[in-house]
Amino acid sequence: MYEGFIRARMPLFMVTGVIFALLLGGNIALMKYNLALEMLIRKTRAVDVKKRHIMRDTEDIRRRLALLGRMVPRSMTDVSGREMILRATDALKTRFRGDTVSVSEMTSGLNEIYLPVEISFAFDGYYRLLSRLRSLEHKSFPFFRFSTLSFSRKKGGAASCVIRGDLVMPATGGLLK
Amino acid sequence: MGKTVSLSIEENSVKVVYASTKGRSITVTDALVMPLDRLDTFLAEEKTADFIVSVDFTSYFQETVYIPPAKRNLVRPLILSEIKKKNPVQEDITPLYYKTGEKTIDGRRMDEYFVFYVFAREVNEIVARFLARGKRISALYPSILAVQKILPRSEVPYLCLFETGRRKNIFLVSNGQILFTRSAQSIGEGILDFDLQNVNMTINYCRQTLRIEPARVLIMGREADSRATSVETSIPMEFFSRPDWVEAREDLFMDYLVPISAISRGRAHTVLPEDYRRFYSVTNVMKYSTRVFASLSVILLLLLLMNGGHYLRLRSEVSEVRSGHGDLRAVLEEHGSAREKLEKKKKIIDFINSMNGRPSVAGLLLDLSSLPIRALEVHRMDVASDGSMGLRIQMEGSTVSTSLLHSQQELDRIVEYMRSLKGMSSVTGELSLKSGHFRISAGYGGEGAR
Repeated sequence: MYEGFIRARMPLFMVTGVIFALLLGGNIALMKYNLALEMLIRKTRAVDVKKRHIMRDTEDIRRRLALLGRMVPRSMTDVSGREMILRATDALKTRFRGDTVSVSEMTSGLNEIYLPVEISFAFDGYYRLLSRLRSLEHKSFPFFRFSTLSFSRKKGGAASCVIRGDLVMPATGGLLK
Repeated sequence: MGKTVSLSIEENSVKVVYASTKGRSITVTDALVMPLDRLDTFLAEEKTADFIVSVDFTSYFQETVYIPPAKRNLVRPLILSEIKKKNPVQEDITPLYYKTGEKTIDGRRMDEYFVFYVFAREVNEIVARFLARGKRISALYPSILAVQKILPRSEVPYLCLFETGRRKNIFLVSNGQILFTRSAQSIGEGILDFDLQNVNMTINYCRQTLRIEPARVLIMGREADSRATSVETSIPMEFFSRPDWVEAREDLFMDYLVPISAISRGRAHTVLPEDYRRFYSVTNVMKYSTRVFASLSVILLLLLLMNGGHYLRLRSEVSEVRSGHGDLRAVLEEHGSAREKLEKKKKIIDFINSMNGRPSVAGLLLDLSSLPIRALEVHRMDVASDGSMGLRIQMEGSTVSTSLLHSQQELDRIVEYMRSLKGMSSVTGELSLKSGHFRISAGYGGEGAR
C-alpha cells in the first residue's frame, strides 16, 4: 500500500538529490579551480616582474660590454702589451717635447705589465702642469698609474716639477678574448 | 498562513472544509458537502496533498483498561493484551489511548487508561483510498474525538451531546479529555425529547457507575433545534457557541463542526496505525528533503553561474597574462649568455676599474688652484699615492708677512679652506715662529675625489 506511494515520489526525490549533489560538487570543483587560476595569475605576474628585471639586467650587461668594447682598442688583439707600452712611451715623449721623459725597466707581473716613467720639466705655469696631469690621467691602454708629483722652487729662482708613475697594461693570456 | 483541508466522512456523505490557520485562529474559507461515492473523484481533482480526516466509524469500541505502571514503550502492548483478554476478537485493531487516572485494585496501584479502538481494516481502507489518489492523511480522528479538540477545557466534568448523521453522541469530558462516550441512533434530526432522556440516563450512569458528577450538559447544536422538547435535563443545559478564534458563519460552523474542530489545535489522538505513522515520517523526510534540495539547487545554480562568470574572467586574464609573458626560456638563455660574456671580461673590467678608481691628481690640483694664498709662499709641494685609493699632500714654504700673527692667521685660513674642500681629510698646518716656515699636510681621496 505504502510502497507504491513512495515509489511514485522517489524519482523526484532522487532527481533533486542528484541535481543538488552535482551542483554542490560542481561549485566546489569550480571554486577550487578558480582559486588555482588566481594563484597561477599571481605567480605568473611575479614571474613576469622577475623576467622584466632579468631583461633589464641583460640589457645592462650588454651596455657594459659595449662600453668595454669601445674602451679597449682593437689593436690589442694583434699587438702585445709590451709593444703598446713602448708605443705609448714614444707618444708621451712626442707629446711632452721639451720635458725629460725617462723610463726604467719594464716589469711583467701576473696581471699586468708596467713601465715606470719619470717626467721632469721646468715649472711653466700651474695650468700647464694641470694639463700634463690631465693628459696622463686620460690615457688608457696603457693607463698611467700616478705615483708622485714633486714641485720645488728654489729661493727667488725657477721652479721644477717631477711626475712619477707607471704605464700599465693588463697581462695578456685570454684576458681580452 | 497555512492552508488546511479537513474532511469529515460520515455515513453517506463527506463534509469538506477549506481553512487557513494562523497560530490558534482558524478562518474557514470554503466548505462543501458531497456524496461519499464522489470522494475518489474529489481526491483525484483536489490539489492539496495532505488532509485531516475525521471518520464516523460504524463500529468502534471503548474500554477503560487498568495496567500496572509501565514504561511508555510497554503501555501499548499491555493495553492490546488487556483488550484481547477482554474481547477475544481475532481481527487487528487500531487503538488510541490515554491515561485518565490511577486506581488501587487488590492492593496494587494501577494506571487507568481510556482506550478507543476501531478495526485496523476500516482504517486501512480509508488510508488506501487516499494513497491510491496520491494523497496522505496527516491525522485521522474518530468524529467523536475530533470534537474533543474544540471543546472548552474545564476541571469540572461535563457531558457533551452532538449529532453525527443520524446518531447522537454523548460523552463525558473532564480536563479536556473524554472519559466515556456513548452513541445511539436517533429517531430524528435536532434535539428531541428522546435524546434528552438519553442524556438523563447517561447522567445517572455517570453518577452511579463512574461516580462522577457532571456539572452541565453542553449541546453542540443550534438552540432553535431544541425548542420542540418538553423534557428537561437533570443538570443545567448549555449550547456550545463558536469560539472567537474560529472565523466562520454561525450556521456553517454548526454544520461543519467536526471538520472545523479537527483543524483546531486542541489535543486529540489519531487512530492511524503504527506502520502508517512510520510511512508518514519517511514521506515527510522525502517531501522536505526534496524541497530543501530544490531550494539549495536554485541557490547553488546561481552560485555556479557566479563562479562560472568568475572562471571566464580568470581564464581571459590568464590568457592575457600568458600572452604578455612571452618565452621565458629565451630570456633566461639570453641573460645566461650575456652573463657568461661578462664573466669572461671580468679580469679586464677589474683592471679598468682599478685604474679608473684612483683619485685624480689633476682634480686635486684643480681644487687647490683656488687656495687663497696671499701672505705665504709655497717652496715645495709633494703629492704621493698612498698605495691604495688615496693621495697624501705635503706643502712647505715660508711666510711673506713680517707679522707673525698675520702669518698664523693666513696659515689657519688656508688650512680651514682646505678642510672645506670635498675629499680632503686630516688637514694640518704648522708654522715655525723661529724660521717663519710653514708645513701643511693633508689626505685626499674617497668619494668625490675624482
